[in-house]
Amino acid sequence: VKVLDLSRGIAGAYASQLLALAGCEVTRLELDGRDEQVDAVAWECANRGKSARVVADAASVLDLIADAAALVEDRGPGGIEALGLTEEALRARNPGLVLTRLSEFGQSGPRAAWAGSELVNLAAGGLLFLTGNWDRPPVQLAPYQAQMTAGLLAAIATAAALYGGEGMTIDASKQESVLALVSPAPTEYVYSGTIPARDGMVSAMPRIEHSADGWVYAGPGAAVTADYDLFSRFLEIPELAEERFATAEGRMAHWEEHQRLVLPKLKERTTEAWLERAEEWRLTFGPVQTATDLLASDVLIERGFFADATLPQCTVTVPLAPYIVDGTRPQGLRTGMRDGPADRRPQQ
Amino acid sequence: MQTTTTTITTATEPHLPLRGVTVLAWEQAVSLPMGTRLLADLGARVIRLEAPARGRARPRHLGNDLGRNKQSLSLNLRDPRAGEIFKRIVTHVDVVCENFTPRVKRQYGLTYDDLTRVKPDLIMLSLCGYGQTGRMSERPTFGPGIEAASGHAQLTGYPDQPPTRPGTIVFADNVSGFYAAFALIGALLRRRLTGKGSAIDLAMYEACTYHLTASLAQASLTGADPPRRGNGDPAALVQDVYAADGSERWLAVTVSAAQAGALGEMLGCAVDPDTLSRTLARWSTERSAEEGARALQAIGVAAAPVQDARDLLLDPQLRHRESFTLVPHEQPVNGYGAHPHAASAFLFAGRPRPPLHESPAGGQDSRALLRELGGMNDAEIDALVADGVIGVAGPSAGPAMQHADPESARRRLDWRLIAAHDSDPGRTLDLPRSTPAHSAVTEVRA
Repeated sequence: VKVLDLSRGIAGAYASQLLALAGCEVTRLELDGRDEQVDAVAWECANRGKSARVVADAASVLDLIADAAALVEDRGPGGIEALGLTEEALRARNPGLVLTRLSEFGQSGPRAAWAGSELVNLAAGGLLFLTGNWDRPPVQLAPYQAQMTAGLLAAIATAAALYGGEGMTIDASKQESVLALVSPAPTEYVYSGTIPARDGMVSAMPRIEHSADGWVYAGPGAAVTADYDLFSRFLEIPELAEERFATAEGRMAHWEEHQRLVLPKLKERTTEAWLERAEEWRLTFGPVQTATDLLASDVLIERGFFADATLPQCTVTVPLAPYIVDGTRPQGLRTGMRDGPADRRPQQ
Repeated sequence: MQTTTTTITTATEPHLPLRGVTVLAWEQAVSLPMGTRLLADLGARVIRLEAPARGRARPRHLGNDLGRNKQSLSLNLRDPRAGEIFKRIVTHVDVVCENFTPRVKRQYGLTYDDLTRVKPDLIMLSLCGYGQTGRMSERPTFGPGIEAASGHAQLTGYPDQPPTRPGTIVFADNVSGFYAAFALIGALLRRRLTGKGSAIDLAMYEACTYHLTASLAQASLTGADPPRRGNGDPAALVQDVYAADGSERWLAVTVSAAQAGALGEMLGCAVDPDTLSRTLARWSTERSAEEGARALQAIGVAAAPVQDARDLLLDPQLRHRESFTLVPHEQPVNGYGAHPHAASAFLFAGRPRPPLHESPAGGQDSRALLRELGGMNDAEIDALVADGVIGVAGPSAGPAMQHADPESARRRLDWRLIAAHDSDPGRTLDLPRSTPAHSAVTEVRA
């Protein structure tokens, strides 16, 4: 199954990369480089596992399209048309083509022409409003999360369309991809009448708190089912077993007192000591890990999660695949970009 | 024994690409239910397997984000007879997926090896916190713990503040669910080429870490962890979230170097980043986030209001794309016969989003499914219902249901009604007092 990629951003590049992971033969068509918002390392990482081919113009893309099952692009409304490629021309060459069009807000509609960015995607899709502390402005997520999510959802739609076997055009919007991460918030609003706020959805139990030597994720379970009798014994704080802390609503009403009891206690042990104790008690504590912690994670290393990838300018460690199939980590993305002329590669 | 007629509600839109695929989803919590919801959005028939409910069932509408367009089969797997029924159904499905700790499927004798004996080309996905192997495989986990473990919390927040969780409490669940859906469609494509099924081992820990590939690659280059970056971005000249006119109204702005001149001209200020940002901060408080975004977009600068849940429902772009679908209720809820829920996550050009059917009551489709796929007759089913092996839908419950009246069944809470509450200074919907607080959140946490 051959897939062509005309993307300039992480969202499109990641969508086609996932198709390569699923076994498609993906060719990145090199025409005009990457989007200015994308850094070189992220770009190279999102293009592992593909071959690259320089194309001069629309005519050379059309020559390749008859042979392809799918074309992925993320240039927005009118983007491929500006190159001289229309959907009609593509379909004339290949009626069964799956055309995946990623954009900031969608291919049509009152805001289709609006410009976007990672931060703007998160804002328009509703996730930014919910992230951060209630007494500070909303704050963005880790780099490229809207782009990665949009790419993932576009890859799901594309893979499904390839399975269905019928030519179609997928109109994937980054705003709406972020909305897919946020769906409980509008639902809460339409049934309760209350607009979910930052921090408001999380203060029914401890979350990320100070331990003796760092941070620990100290949530005892799911908020509504958390057993505070057990948690009281676990933390050795008898007051936590009192009626007022038994429910999520009760804890929210007595939140300051809850924190006055719990926070000093959590500082009495190291993160590792809490994790060991929590595992014995089957509570859902967790470490708060950094990127370098993850690169050193014995669990990830033993499960074959990482590999070194040689990019044009450097060698980096990257995750190979998000899952294991039949006991083996898929190896298809082990390679850097192949066959691309060096002068076309983005400079770091 | 009461016999109920069961309507089988599955998405049957002819254009949906996964039509004809049947998925048995032995699922709980949020992660896998989100993944199989996406498969249902794409036309797969998803049979949700759940344990027979104890006591009164939860109100159905609370499950609509995850359970809509699925069927419900209720089996008590503690009884070996239920395991036999499970296997009989497996012979008719393409995919089995589950999200319990690994020992659960071993305990019930329902591992991939057990199931491929009855269905050799089965695709099976197992989703859990830390994977099927390794020293942490049996560790029970919820999404928020995974956000912390997989690096997201450490990379989110202000440089002077603690690690911060991504908003909503289901970020890690949803991301993991999306990867589950992708892995399963990949396995379907593979089975078509090779004729073989496969076993997929998906860890929430790994899915969410994978979503940070760029940050991991960067850290592997430098050997150091990047600081939390607040709302900044090194690729932008200016990027931040600015307070707009009103309470909790914000404007998100990204300015590229090439746009500095045009922005400086509009704001009447110098074009260095500090001056532009300071001037934007003052300028944005003088207008609504909406007006600010429109003015900036008019000169090509990326900007948008920081939308809350209500804004999303009213957003003209999302309305144009029909990103929300009204889900009709069996009985009115809070005085309305239908409420909006996130539509199918996929838009195929020129084709409507598929209609959404309310999340089934637990065991609602047990009888029909066991007749169709289990090869059982009514007498056999009744006997096993009596023994508690099979669950069938009981009365649904919840304070919301007490407000049923014929008038309200016809009222639909569409965006126009939501917009009509514009004048309310508290910006809250006018709902009956008995509305359960945090009802939807309660459901996603459960």
